Amino acid sequence: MRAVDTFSHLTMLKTEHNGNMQQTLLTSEQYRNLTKKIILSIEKRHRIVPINSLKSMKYFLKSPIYITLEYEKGKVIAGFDDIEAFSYADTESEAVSQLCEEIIQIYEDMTEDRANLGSLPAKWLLYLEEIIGCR
Amino acid sequence: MQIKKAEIEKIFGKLRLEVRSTKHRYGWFCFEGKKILRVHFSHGKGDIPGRVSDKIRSQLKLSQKNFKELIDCPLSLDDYVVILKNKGLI
Repeated sequence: MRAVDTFSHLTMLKTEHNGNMQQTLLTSEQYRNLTKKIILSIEKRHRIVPINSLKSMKYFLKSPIYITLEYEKGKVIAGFDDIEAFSYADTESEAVSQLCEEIIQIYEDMTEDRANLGSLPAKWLLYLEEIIGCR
Repeated sequence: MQIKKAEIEKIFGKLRLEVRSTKHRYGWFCFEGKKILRVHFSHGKGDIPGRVSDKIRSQLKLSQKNFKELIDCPLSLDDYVVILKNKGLI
């Protein structure tokens, strides 16, 4: 269930319209607990986390970037949607390390061949040059 | 949609995507010498998680129907180029 649907559903649970009157179906505490449960359930499957470093001797991040962590059947998928990069592994740290390696490989691939980039990779390179610095 | 690593290899062969080395986990789709898009590659055997398959489909810029056709063979390299041209990526 999408977050918007969930909150619409919650609102329906919380109030029932009867003319101009509103009748509460859940107490404030029940409403709060239900909200917490839903947020926890979403966080178990999908998280957005900042990373401050590419774990590289050669490159550094000029500012933190936000990556997604998704969980499926014992695997962790780390993604950096701005350049459509992702990696998956058994643990969060492995998935994040592999994603960092992949971001660097993509950056190097594109800088080496910048005259031959299609429209999409050209945009990725512009963005990566804004966020990656060379030591 | 769940797919196997062998099916990804099949896509790589069909679209002539090249993985630079075993260290690399992606290949570039090139057209007339230009890098057009990048696709994740999984070394080894076995199934790929469903979310990963979705992300690969998204990297290829294909609908679910076309992605299935690419794996099952009706969609050729020429058809794929037409799709990318229609999307303004080539």
